[in-house]
Amino acid sequence: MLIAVNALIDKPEEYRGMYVVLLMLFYAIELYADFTGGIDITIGVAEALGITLKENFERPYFSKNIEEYWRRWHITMGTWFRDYIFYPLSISDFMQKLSKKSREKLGPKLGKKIPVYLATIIVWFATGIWHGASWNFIVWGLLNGFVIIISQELSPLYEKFHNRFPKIGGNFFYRGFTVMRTFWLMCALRLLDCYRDVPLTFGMFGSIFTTFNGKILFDGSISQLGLEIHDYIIILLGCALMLTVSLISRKKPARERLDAMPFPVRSALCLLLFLAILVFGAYGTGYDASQFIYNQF
Amino acid sequence: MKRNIKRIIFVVAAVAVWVGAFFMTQRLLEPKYMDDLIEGALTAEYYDETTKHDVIFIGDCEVYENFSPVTLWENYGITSYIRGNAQQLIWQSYYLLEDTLRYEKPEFVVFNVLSMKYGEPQSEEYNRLTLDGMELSPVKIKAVEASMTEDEELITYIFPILRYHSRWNQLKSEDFEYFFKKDKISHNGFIMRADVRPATTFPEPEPLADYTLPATCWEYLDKMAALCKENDIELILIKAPSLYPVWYDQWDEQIVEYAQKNGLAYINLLDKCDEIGIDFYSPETADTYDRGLHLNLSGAEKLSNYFGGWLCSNYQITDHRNDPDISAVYSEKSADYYAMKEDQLRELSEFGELKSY
Repeated sequence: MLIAVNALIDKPEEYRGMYVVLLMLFYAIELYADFTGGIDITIGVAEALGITLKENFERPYFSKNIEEYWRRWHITMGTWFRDYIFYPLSISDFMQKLSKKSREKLGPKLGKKIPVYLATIIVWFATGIWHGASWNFIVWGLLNGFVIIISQELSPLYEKFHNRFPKIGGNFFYRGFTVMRTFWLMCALRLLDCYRDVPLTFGMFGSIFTTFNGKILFDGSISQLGLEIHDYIIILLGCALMLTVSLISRKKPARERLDAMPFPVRSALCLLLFLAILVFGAYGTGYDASQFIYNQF
Repeated sequence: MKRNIKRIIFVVAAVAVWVGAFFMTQRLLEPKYMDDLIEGALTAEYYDETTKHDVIFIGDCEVYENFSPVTLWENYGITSYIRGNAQQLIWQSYYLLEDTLRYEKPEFVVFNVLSMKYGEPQSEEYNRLTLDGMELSPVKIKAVEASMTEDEELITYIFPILRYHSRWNQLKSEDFEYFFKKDKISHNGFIMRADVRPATTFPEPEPLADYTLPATCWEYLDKMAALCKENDIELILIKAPSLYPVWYDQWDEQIVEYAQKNGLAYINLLDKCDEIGIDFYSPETADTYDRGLHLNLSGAEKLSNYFGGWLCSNYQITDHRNDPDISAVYSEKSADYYAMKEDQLRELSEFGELKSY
């Protein structure tokens, strides 16, 4: 996926409109597979040495809102920022005083929120800086913070709506809509990580609504991005596998299900996986194993 | 107890299936070198030999295109094999010789000295053509370590699937057809080309700033000479008759000096072309198929006839034509040789060029 992602990022003047949508999708796949794959390797190696590490991803692309997303994505980073920045900041003397003053000036309802939202902005600013000391990461962090704040502000409205229409909340298609909404929202925010330039990112995002080139999905243009059709098929199969494992893991972890299978079946599945990695893996001449995206962090 | 036995059987069976699947997948994805780049199949073909050889040729394409073991057999009863490869480097020649000595001890080793000009690993592609076919052994490991370019890794030569795994989207019918067994592409290491393409003119050779042959090459030539001496093998140095690449006089002088100093025979066959009867230039009957870089079939037969005669005049070498076992083997080899010759001549007559070779 990296090949296509880099092709799309390297020539923004050429790859606008639908290409930006493709970039959002491709980068989402690349980032998740890269990051969760690296973490799985770490967890596996640690377990082989008798050390149990916590999971760092809990099916984040199944999240229905941004808060849920950040509870499922890079869990250790989220909990670290919560435990070492958000909470200490929230209960600090400065925030206590600010809370008191804002309640006096703005009333109890709004005044109560100011310190929380300020702490949220500070945490997300820090999260952005953690990713890199550059404007694109800072803006990315702040945007995450603002979206969370807006989401919290709108939550009474959502509650009213669901109380008014209780059947909608449990509806499969509505849940699917919330998952897709969150997915694409996070993809859009991640464009700042792709282009690494704030004005360019906003310009490229805007081109989705001004450049209408949907036909690139059907006229073979996507095979000009450095990947052939068979590569996309393998990626699709890989995504299907990740999706399947995620779906079956909702009720019971996939590893526990695997352990419960008869030995020959378990062995055959593991063999197939091993051969798939051996044959389709991105390693060897022309690949750099240290190109894990999060290697730079 | 029964449960434990059952468990052990399951585990052993699972390991066998895993190992089998791994090696079958590797076998499928490795290049077969049957339709394209047939030179890649040369190294491995040696291991199918059932008889020993009096003469082993080692070196680059100037040996496997220029010498015909069938001619040496038919005219002199000399058994020979050419362990040649495209751009075979001298350290590869040395290790292929070591590899050969694991199976037999020839009386003569003939080494083409063109590779003395390459002091460093050149390319992965040529390394693969030479080394992939070597049987895995400590000798192969040493050959690979001496040959690897910066980007290469030893593990990919031990488990080639680590290099060729991405061929899954380039699999051709030959990968399935030759999964279990390959066809022979050479005649005791000789690749036959019956077509004719005469030489034209080559640009004047550019003078070099430094004609000193690399120290690494001298080291390996010393090792080759020592290995031959240790095994009572006569090492003969040659420069095969090819018009290009250029073989500078200054290089030749160094080889002459080395040979004299070490009591080795050296023939520069480029100087003997008239004597051999090699003609590079006649439009219909030239002895080259690629404008003078390599000899064609007729050139190779002439050269082999000359070289065989030279060997017999200068050394005691057994004529095995009366040995029924060896004769039977070479009778089959000759039949294959002439069948291919006939087929190539038919294609040339029908199409004006070789289509299948």
